Amino acid sequence: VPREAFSGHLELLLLAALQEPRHGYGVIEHVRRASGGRFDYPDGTVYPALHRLEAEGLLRSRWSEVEGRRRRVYEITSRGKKALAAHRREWERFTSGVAAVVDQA
Amino acid sequence: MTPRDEVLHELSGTLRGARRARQRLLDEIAEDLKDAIDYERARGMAPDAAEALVARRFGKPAVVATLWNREQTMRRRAIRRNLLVLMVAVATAGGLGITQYASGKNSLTATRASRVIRGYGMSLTVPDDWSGRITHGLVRLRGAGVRIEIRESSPTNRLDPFFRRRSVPALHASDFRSAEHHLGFTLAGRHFAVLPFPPRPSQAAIDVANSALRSFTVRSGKHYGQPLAPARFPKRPGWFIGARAGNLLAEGGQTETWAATVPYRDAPSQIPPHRTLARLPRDGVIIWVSLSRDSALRQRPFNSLNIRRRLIESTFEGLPKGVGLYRASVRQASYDIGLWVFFKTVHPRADVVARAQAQLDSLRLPTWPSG
Repeated sequence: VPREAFSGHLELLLLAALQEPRHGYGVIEHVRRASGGRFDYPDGTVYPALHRLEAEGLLRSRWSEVEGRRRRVYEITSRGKKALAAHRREWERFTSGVAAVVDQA
Repeated sequence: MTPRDEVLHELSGTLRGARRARQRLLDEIAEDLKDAIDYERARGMAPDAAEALVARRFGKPAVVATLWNREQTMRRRAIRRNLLVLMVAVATAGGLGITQYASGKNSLTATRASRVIRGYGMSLTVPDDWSGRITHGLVRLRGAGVRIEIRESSPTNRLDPFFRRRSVPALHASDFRSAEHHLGFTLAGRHFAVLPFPPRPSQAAIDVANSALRSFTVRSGKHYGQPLAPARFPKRPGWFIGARAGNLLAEGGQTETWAATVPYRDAPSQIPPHRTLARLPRDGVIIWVSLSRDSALRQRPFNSLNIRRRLIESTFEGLPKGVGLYRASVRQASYDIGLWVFFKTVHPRADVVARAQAQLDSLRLPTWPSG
């Protein structure tokens, strides 16, 4: 998948991946696996986006320690859930619009 | 330098923005890279190959730094813009207030709007010109000579009659008589106590405080209970170590960690550890460390984690005769560290103190949830 096609929907992907709490690497792995490897973008680019979503109040995070290992765990906030629902609706409208045009061609 | 170190090194040199935010990002990436490397190694990859693969997948640090720096710049601009809007609003409102005041319609103070504060499933409307804040298990409200706190307590299996009331109590002048006076109530299955602090305010101020209390709402649900990692001593010959984890409840939480030169025989929270002290030889040492967070109080810091021989004392209540004790309380961002170092004598030899210090220096501190 071309990088530019993906970048516009990074927020949607991250919010969707964080419907259960995950740390940064967990989010990256989840998106990579769930997309069947199609979204194999540079891992590092996810962190600035996670921090931005947190600053906007769509995610919250905390340090958690498991077996002596620290991880910054993110989870979606209620505001984030509303944003995810809105993104999802937009995405469905967009894909159905594209499909309608492509199918008629 | 490993590929992981190179990524972190390059990033740390190119990130901009607040120091704390940068450090958090670097810590987070450092831990996640470690995770990714471990994952690849667990799948059978050689250590060097795993490091190289993970660093390659991370991408160019310069690209990550560019994205991060752009976000920081945008955030800074947004803050400046909001500040400007706020200044204009304040200036406008101030002018409006003066006009209203001059025409006898309203007071200057009425121009600052009330606002709703939220957190941990609680919300409260802060009256005009009052300040309010919700933090972990605690609501603070202050204004017009009134200071009130609402503290949350974790419910226990046995119903405490103190929390029998099912609504927020209304305050009267007589309630502001003592800092110890507090009134319990239960909302949405959660237990609270209102603490009105002296001195006694005016009746008008109490009326405003009561209107704020009436606006206090609570949602049921799980807002606390996060596991707390204790501090840890590494395994070393000649030391018997242990630790007990905790949970972060509405009131706060605590963990205990210990290291002794003899087998530890006391319960984790037993201070002084009498049974272990009884078996301690003349050159023996017991180190006990608590990490704690209290929602309403913070320990006043004193001394430090560097043991000072001249501060070893034997006057602490309940301390067996002749036993020396060095105590310290040190603040960290998310908890207070309580240190207790017990020696068999009040005047331990320098090498015994040095041995205790070396052990103490090896203590690894965790990170607790902030808030």
